[in-house]
Amino acid sequence: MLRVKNLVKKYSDLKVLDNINFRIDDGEVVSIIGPNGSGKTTLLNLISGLDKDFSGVINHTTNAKFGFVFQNSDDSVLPWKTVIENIHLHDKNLDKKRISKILRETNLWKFRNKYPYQLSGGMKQLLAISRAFIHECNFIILDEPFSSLDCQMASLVRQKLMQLYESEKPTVIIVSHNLDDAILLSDRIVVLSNRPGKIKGVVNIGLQRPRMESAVLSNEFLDYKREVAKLI
Amino acid sequence: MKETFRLSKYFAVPAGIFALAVIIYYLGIFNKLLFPNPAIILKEFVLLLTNKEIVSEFGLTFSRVLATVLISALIGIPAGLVLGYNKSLYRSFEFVIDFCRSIPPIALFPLFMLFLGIGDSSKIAYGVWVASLVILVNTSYGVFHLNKAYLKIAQVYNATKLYLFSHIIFPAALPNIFAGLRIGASLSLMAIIVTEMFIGSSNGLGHAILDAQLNYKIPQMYAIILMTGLMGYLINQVLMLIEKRTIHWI
Ligand SMILES: Nc1ncnc2c1ncn2[C@@H]1O[C@H](COP(=O)(O)OP(=O)(O)O)[C@@H](O)[C@H]1O
Ligand SMILES: [Mg+2]
Repeated sequence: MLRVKNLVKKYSDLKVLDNINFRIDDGEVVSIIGPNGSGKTTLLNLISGLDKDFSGVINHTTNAKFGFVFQNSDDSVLPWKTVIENIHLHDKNLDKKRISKILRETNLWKFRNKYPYQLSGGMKQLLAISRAFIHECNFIILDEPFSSLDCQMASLVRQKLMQLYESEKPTVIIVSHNLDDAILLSDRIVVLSNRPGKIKGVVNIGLQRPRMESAVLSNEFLDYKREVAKLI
Repeated sequence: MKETFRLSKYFAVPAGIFALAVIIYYLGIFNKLLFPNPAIILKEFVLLLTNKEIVSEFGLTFSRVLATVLISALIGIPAGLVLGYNKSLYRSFEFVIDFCRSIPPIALFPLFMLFLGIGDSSKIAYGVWVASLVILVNTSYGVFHLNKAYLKIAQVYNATKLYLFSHIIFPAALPNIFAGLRIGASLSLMAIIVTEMFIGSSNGLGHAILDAQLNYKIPQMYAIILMTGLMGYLINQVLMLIEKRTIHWI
């Protein structure tokens, strides 16, 4: 569980987040959407403990383990390490079976000895996602993970993410600019205002899981889309 | 055919300079004793390549330069990584580093001689003084400008400090480290040649240049100068080759 109370973040004199309050239960998928500069990336850094300079309260379960996927696929992986080395990082004792199972699911197994420059942007994002799952992260944080990908790749990465999510049920927090992505993936969507970011509204998405990509065509989906769009 | 064209492009400018030197020689613009026929210099150069004495001077200078570069790297790279990672530490050292770099290095050589004598150790120590600072500063800049996302990866996955430095910060800084090494290597060569010219020095290419000048073997002097250039060029090429092999992911 993650609880954020009265969170305020300033970069010297610049206030970027203003009195943020929310709670995310274990296994939930939450999307954060908001305009550029509204403090979404900042919020992710605070939640995951990368940035400890804030006022307010951020609480999470004691065994919280975070995995990060960045907006730019070249940021998500180390270019001088092979796929398998990028998975391991310093940890030599990961479960071999689990590595092979997850890499096969994300179609990266046969590329395990390749370097990131030999992979497409989508594969690099899948690598970062696979790493988070293999390390059994219970919080997986994705900062606009699809925005650097073309739409086929984005769709593939989204499907693989959902597939892994369904089998492991970690808590997933995604920043996205794409309403369809956000609705399709999430249990809840948090909409931020212009800087300084405040919560403008929260929309619960009740679509049944597992969700198919075709759900975007349903009336229910369109209703959610209207509801979120009204908040933006 | 294409290959010949490429090679001819490569050699066109050096050949042009050589031709220009020949013209200057025959026009007699400079004293022919001080500016000898380039063809004779070239012949002298080829002769020197098989001259045991000069080859051993070359080897001596080269091994001093090599020792200088290696020691400078062993000091400059780790120190640069640590100072680059810890910016406030770098700030504390910044004045000292910049001040040391601002002292014309040759001003310090008498001091090195005083402490270490005129043997290899003072020469190498002097070279290390010059080169390690350059390598250190370049390494630190590499760390300053590394992609901060990589540090975040290390942080969220709780990488050990050892892993952080050896597997993330060091490889990320490698392009700058190699730039520093190449500058450091040419500075080392310069430093070693200068120290070999000091009074009391009795070997190395620097000494051989001075010796040839004092004995008025002018073509030989030019030929040895060319040799020092050849050494610098070769060191640079080898470093670039190692760089290309090492940083294969760019
Ligand atoms: N390290 C930082 N120092 C100073 N200002 C920052 C820093 N990071 C972000 N900002 C500023 O904070 C605001 C929010 O940034 P960010 O969280 O990246 O927004 P978003 O991800 O929603 O686009 C922006 O105006 C940005 O310029
Ligand atoms: Mg952002």
